Amino acid sequence: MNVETPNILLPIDRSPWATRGLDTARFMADALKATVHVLHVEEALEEASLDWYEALQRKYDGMGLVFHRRKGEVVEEILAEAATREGIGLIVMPTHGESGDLKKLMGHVTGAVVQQARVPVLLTRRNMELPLSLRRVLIPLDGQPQTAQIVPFVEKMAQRSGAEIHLLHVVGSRMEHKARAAAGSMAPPKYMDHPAHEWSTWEHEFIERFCDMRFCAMEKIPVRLSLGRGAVEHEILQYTREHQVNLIAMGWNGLLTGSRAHILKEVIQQAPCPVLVHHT
Amino acid sequence: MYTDEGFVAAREHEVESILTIGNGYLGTRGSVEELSSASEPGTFLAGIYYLPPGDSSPCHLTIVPDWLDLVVSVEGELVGVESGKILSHRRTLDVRQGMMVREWQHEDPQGRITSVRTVRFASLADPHALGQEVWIQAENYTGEVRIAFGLNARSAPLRQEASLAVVEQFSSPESHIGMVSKTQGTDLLVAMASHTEGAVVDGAAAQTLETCTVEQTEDRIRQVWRWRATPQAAVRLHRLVTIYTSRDLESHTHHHNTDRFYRDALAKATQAESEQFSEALGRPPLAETTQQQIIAEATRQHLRHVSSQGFGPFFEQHRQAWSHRWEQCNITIEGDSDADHWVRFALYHLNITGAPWNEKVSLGARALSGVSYEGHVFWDTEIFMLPFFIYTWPPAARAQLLYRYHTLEQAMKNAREGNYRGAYFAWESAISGEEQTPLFARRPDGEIIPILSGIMEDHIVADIAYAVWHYWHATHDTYFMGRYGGRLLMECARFWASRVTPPDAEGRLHIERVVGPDEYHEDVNDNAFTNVMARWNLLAGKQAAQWLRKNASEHWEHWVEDSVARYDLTPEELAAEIEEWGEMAHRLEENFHPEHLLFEQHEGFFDLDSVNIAEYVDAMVPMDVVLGPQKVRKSQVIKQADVVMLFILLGSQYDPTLWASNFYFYEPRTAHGSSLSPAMHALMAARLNDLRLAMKYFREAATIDLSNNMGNASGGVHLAGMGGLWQAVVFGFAGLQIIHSDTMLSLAPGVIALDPHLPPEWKGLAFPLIYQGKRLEFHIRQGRTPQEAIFLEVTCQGSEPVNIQLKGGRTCCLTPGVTFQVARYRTGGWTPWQPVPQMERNSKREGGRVDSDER
Repeated sequence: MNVETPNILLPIDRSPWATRGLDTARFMADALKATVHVLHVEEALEEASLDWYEALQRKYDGMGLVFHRRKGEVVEEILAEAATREGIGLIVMPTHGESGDLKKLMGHVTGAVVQQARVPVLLTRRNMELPLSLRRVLIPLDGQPQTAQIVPFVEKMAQRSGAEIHLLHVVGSRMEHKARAAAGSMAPPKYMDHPAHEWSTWEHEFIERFCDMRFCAMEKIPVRLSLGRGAVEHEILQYTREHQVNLIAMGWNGLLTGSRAHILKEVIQQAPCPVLVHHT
Repeated sequence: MYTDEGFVAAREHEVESILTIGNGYLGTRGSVEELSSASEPGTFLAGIYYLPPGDSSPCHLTIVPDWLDLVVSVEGELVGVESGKILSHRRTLDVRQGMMVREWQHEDPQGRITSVRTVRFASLADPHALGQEVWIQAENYTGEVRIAFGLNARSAPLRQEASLAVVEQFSSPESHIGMVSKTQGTDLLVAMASHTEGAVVDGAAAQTLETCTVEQTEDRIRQVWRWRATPQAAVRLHRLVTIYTSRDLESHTHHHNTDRFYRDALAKATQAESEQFSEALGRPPLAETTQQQIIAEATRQHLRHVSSQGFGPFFEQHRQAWSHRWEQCNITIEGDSDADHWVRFALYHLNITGAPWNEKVSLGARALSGVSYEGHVFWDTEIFMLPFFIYTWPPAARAQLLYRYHTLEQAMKNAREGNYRGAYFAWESAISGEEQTPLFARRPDGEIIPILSGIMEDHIVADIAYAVWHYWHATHDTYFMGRYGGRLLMECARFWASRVTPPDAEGRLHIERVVGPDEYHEDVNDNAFTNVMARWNLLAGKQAAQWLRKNASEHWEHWVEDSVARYDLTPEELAAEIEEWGEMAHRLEENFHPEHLLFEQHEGFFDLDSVNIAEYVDAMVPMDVVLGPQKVRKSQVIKQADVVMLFILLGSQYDPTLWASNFYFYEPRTAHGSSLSPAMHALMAARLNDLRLAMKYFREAATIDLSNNMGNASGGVHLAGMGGLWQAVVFGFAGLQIIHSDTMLSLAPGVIALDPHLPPEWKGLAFPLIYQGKRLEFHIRQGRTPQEAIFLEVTCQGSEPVNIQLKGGRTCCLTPGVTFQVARYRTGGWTPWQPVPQMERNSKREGGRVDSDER
C-alpha cells in the first residue's frame, strides 16, 4: 500500500452517475492534496465513447485531472493501472448501494476491484451526499493486526487533511473469537482486576499496538478510541452518525461473495459517508 | 526457559513484560537494547514513585534512566531491529540463572551481516548491581564498528519527561559514567554509575579496540568504543552498573554489602565517623544535596568494588544466589511439562519482585514489569503473593509486612479521617500509605464508573492482619510479633470495633456499606467475607494483646502508653476495650444460613436475579462489560472468589461439608472477571478432590500472561495470579494447611496437615517449604500399587522434629534428617509412616532427583 503519495485512480464508465465518482475523487484529492487519474476502459474502443470521453476532458479541463483511455478487460486494466502507475494509493469507485446480492450492492467491476486491489478502494453510493470536508475518519478495528493494516494509510490521510482518527472496537461480536486467534491480536481485557487501571492500560496498549503514535504525536493528529457493544455493523453506523464521521475506513481479509463480509456490506450500503475498504 | 522467536512489533509490549529481569530492588523489561518504535522500555525501582505535575492524581511508578542503553553501528549504519534486515532474532529468559539472553543477526543495506548476543541480569546476590554482556561478530565484512553504552533518561520520553529530571552527570573516561536524577513531586533521587570494559575474544590480532570516549547530552551519557572489525572476529564487552536511591537511606535492612558503601559514602558526605551511620539514619532527613552526594558516591564506590572483582566472579555470585533461591522454592511437576513450566515461570516472577532488601516498599500488582497499576500495593500482596514468600523466603515476607507496619501511622490517620479508630489501611497504597485509589474511571465506551474500593473495600484491614498471623505461625518470629505484628493485629482489631454498627434489636452487630472481594456488588451490607474476616481479626487482636502482655512486655507497655495517650483512655478502659473485641466478634453477623449450609455473600444476595453464566462461556470480556454494570449488580453474577476465599483463608475453622456446599453454590455463579479468581478456584477444587475442575482453573490461572497474545500482559505480569498458582499447588493439590489443636486463633504452634490430591496427568509433585526455620521437602506421587491412591515422602532438615498430620490419618513426628514415607489407600486409610533406609535414599538422590535441569 502506497501511503506516501496517495494519488487517486478513478475508473469511469459511461453510466449516468460516472460524474458522481468524479466529485468524490476531487473531494478526496482536495483533502489529500493528491492528483486524480481518470481511467476509462472499454473492451472495444468505439467512436461514440471517444466523443463522450473528449467531452468529459473538456468539461473538467483545468481542474488538475489526468485522463487515460485503455482498451481491454475492465477489471484487469484497472488493477494494472493501480499497480503500475506511480503514486497511486487509492482507487475511487461508485456503488449502487442496493440491498441484495453483491451485484446489486456494488456491481461486479467494483466488487472485483475491491476484492483484488492492493490499494484501498473508496466507495461512495451514487445517491450519497458528499461531506464538505474530511474532519473525522472512523476506523473500526476488530483487534487483528491484519485488518489494522489500513491504519498507516489513514494516518497519512489525516496528516494531509488534518482529520481526527477515531478508532472503534466492538465487543461481544462473533468476530472476536476469530480475531483473538491471530498473533498480535488485541481484545478488551478478559480480567478487569481494577477498572481504573485496567481500562487506561488497555486503551493505551490498543492505540499503541495499531497506530504509530510517534507519527501521530509529531503530526498532532488526534487519535481516540471508543468501545462499542453489540452488533458490529450497528455500532459502526451509530457511531458514524453520532460523531458526524466523514469517512469510514475498514480493513478486511475475507471474500465478498455470498453471505460473507456481511458487516462490510451493511456498512457500505447504509453509511452516510464514503467507505474506504482495504482488502488485506 | 521462555523463548520468544522473531520480532513482532504488535506483541512487543507483552513480550517485554514477560521477559522482565529483576532482583526485588528493581525490574527491567525485556525491551531490545537499541529500542524500536514498538518498544516500551522500563526499569522500575521498588518504591520510586513520582507525582504528575499540576495533577491531584496518585503516585505513579517512575521509569528510571535506562541502564541497558546500547547503540551499535557498522560504518555509520545502525544495527537495530528497524534498520536493515533481521536475519534471526531470539530472546530467551533463563529463569534458572535469572537472566535474559538475546541472540540475533542483522544485515544492513550494504549486505554487511553482524551477529550480536547480549546478556542482562540484575544481581540477586547484590541488589544494587547489574550486569550486561555484549558480544559482536562481523560475519562478512571489514569495517569500523562503534558501540555506545549509555545511561539514558529519555528512553521512554513521554513518561520520563513528566517524571524525572537529570540533576547531575559524572564521568571518568577511563572508568565510568554516572547520572543522578530526581523524581517529580516526590523528590526522590536515583543515582546510577556504569563501567564498561572490552575484551577481544576472537581474531585478536586483527582487531584493535580503541579506548572509549564519553559523549554527553542533557539527558544521556555514553561510553563509546570503536574498533576495526574483520570477518568472523568477535569482540565481547562487559558492563557493570550500580544503582542507589535516596529511599535506601530510609531502610534499616540493607544487605551487608550495601551497608558498607552507604556507610563510607555517608561518612564522606557528613564528615562523620562511619560508626555513626546507624545513628544518622535515625536523624531527620538529610539535606537533598547531601543525599545526592551520598548516593552518587555510593554508586561509584560500589562500582569500583564490583569492577575490581571482575565480571566473571560477579556473575558467578549472582548465579549461586539464584541456585540457592531455587533450592528454597522450586516446584517440580512430573508428567505434565506444561504445568511444570507454567509454575516455574510464576516462581521466577515472584522471585524477581519480592526481596528482603527494603522494608519500606512492597509488591505492586503488576510487579516491577510494567507501569500498569502504577506499582500500587493492594490486598493482592498479603493474600495472594505473600504465602509464597512466607514459606520459601521468610525475610522477604517479613519485609513486606514491615512495609505495612511503616504505613501504620498513616493508616491510623486514615481511620481518624473516616471517624474510625485503629488502622484503616489504604486499598491502594504507595509510599506513605495514603489512599491512592481514584474515585472514578472512564471506560472507553464513555461511561464514567465510580470506584468505591478506596472508601468501601475495608476487608484490606483484616487481610493485612491475617497475613501477620500467617507469617507468625509459619515462622514463629517472636521478635517480629513482639515489636511489629502484635501492634498491627491490635490496631486492625480496633478498627473493626469502631467500624461495626451499634447492636440491632437482637443484639447483632453488622458492617454496612462495604465492597467485598466481589466488586460487581458494591455498597452492600454484611458481606460475609468482610464480616467473618473482621470477626476473626477481633479475636486475633484480643489474642495478640494477651500474647504481647505475656511475651513482649516492653512492646505491650509501649502500645498501652500510646493507646492511652492517643485515645484518652485509662488503662482500665483499655482492658475493657480489648475484652469487648471478643464479645463483638461473637455478635457480628456472619450471614450464615444453616438450613442451606451456605454463607450468603451479602445481605440480599440470595434474592438477586439468577443468570446462567454458562451461556456466556464464549464471552471474551468480563461479564460487567457483556451485561452492563447495572444488570450485573442486580444478579448473582460474581466477579471473583468471595465466600470461597473464606474457606481458603479460614478453612480449618469449618467442616469440609461447608467447603463443598459453598464452593459448588458459588463456583457456577463466578464469572472470573479478576485474574485473582482462577487460581483460588483451582486451589479449592483441588482440596475438594474435584481434579478435573481444579485443572481447568489451574490452566486458566497459569496462562493469564504466558499463552495469550491479547495484550493482557503488556502493562506488566499478573503477580497475584502467580502467587495464587503457587498456593493452588501447595495448599490445593498438596492440600497443605496449618491447623491447631484448639482454635486457629491460638498463637501457639500449629501442625502441618496434608491432604494431597494429584491430577491423573501428574506423576509427581515435589516442593520444599520452610516452616518455623526448618526445611521440609515433600514429594507426592501417584500410588505405587493399584491399591494406593497417593504415595508421599517427607524429609525434614534442621535440628528439631516437625509434626505432620494426614487427613484421616495419624500425626507423625518427623525426625530431622530422615525421610518418611506414607501411602493413602484408595479405600481411604493410610499406611503407617515408615522411615526410608539411608541406603535407599542415597540411591534415589543419585538416580532420580526430582529437580529438572531447567528449573
